[in-house]
Amino acid sequence: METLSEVVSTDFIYGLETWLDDWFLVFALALFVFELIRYAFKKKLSWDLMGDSVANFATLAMFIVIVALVAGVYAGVFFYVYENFRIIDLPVTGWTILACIILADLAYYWEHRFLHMNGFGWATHTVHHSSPHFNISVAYRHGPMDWFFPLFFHLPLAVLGFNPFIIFLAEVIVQIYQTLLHTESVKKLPRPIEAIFNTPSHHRVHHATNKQYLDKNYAGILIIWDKMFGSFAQEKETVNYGVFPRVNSVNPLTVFFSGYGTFFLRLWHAPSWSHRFKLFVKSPTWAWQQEQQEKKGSN
Amino acid sequence: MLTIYSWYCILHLPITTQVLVMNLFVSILTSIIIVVIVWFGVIYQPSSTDIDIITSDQAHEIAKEITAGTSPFIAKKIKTNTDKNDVKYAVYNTPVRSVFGVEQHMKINDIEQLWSKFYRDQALQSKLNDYPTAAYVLYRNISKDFKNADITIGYHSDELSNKPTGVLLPVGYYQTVLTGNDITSIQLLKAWQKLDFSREVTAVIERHQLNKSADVTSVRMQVIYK
Repeated sequence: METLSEVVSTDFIYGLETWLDDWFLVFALALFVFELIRYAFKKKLSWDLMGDSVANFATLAMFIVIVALVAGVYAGVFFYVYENFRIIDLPVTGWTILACIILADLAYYWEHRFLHMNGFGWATHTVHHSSPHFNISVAYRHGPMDWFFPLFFHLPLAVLGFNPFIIFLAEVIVQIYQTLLHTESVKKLPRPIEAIFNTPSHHRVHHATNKQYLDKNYAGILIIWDKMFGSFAQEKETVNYGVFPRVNSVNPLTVFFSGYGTFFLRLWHAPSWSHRFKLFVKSPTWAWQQEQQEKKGSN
Repeated sequence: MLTIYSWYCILHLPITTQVLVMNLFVSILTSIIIVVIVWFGVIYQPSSTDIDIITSDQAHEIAKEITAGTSPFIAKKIKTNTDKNDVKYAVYNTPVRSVFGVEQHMKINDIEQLWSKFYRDQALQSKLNDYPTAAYVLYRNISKDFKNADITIGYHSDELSNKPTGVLLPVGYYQTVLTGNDITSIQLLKAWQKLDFSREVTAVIERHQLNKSADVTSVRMQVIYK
């Protein structure tokens, strides 16, 4: 308890964040190799799985290039808001970091739910969901605008007085936890853990195309958000992964730009401006249903 | 009421029936309430200054024991400290002659309040010529039990426009009690125990070196005795 009250230097926080960023990827790669061996033993290793995994890491590479270009602006916005609009100075202590992780996790829940609820957000997030497989490499399957939306959901933390270095660390911790959930190797964890925390089982549900699993389990670390806000579903029947329409490609460029490609095509072919507006703000399920109705009508 | 009802449902219904307990509006409202609760929790978090209460009391006890001459351990400690002061601990002059900022006679334990006042003093912050290189904390008229003092937190007058006079530091030589890069507030408070209690303290000054993001990069604590 006393340790949590100690003042921590921002240099330490930045160092920890960088260390986690660098070394977790190595750890995740090791886990991925373990998963491949497991698939091989179960005779589930296929060329499609290998190609999909390569495509996942290729989207990560493209995403890193984009992040490198915008990172300065992203961080700058946080520091500008913190310097000019913070309500209070919160001390940089263990308690503050812990609280920031909880609030960043809540922010993540809402950001994630937002991405599933409108066409513009889904256009980037669909890339992550478009894999028909589920393993650690899928966690690194990014869309081109994945960096953009977290900004708006985490920026209020800077207004509340959390030092941006703490916010960035909290974001990294939530992301790292999320990454570990992308696995079929872990079936169910002990009940108390399943009740409070997000687990591979809960996250498999999130990636499912099964009707009863759609738009469920948005949580980052704590599954209690989903249970509270009515978006929770328990894993019962076998999960089918992917999205509709299917991408059916392991070409990294096709995968990376598939979301916005589909989105802009829908905008181009939209029958009216009100339909275009709805494509932006309505859920991807609505867009999918509209498309299916149109196809039935033309047949 | 709706939020309370939703919570009741969450706690009392089986997991499968918890789905769609809250609608979107209530969910957002609940989230805002959670944010406010956690935020207030952070604002009123257990402060490291709570440890200061023990530290000050210990200091007081030590001071009493010295006066009574009852503790050979303390006597030994004083001797060791004095030796260090004479041999290892070089005597430095403090790098400033005056400090301009916020001032208050208060409990040393409550210094966080003065730090808040200091950072919120827009009139003071707007006087800065450039990024400040350091912030100073000056303790004067320290009570015998080391619990109260006249405390000033401010900048060196040279760093402010028009170079206001501010509080002049007592003239004399300042001995370094503590210096380092990663000094925690707890270490800083514990450093008070290192003072030579056999001598009367005129003032204590802390220099908090700042970088351009206003983060403290190093701290030096110095004392001047009568």
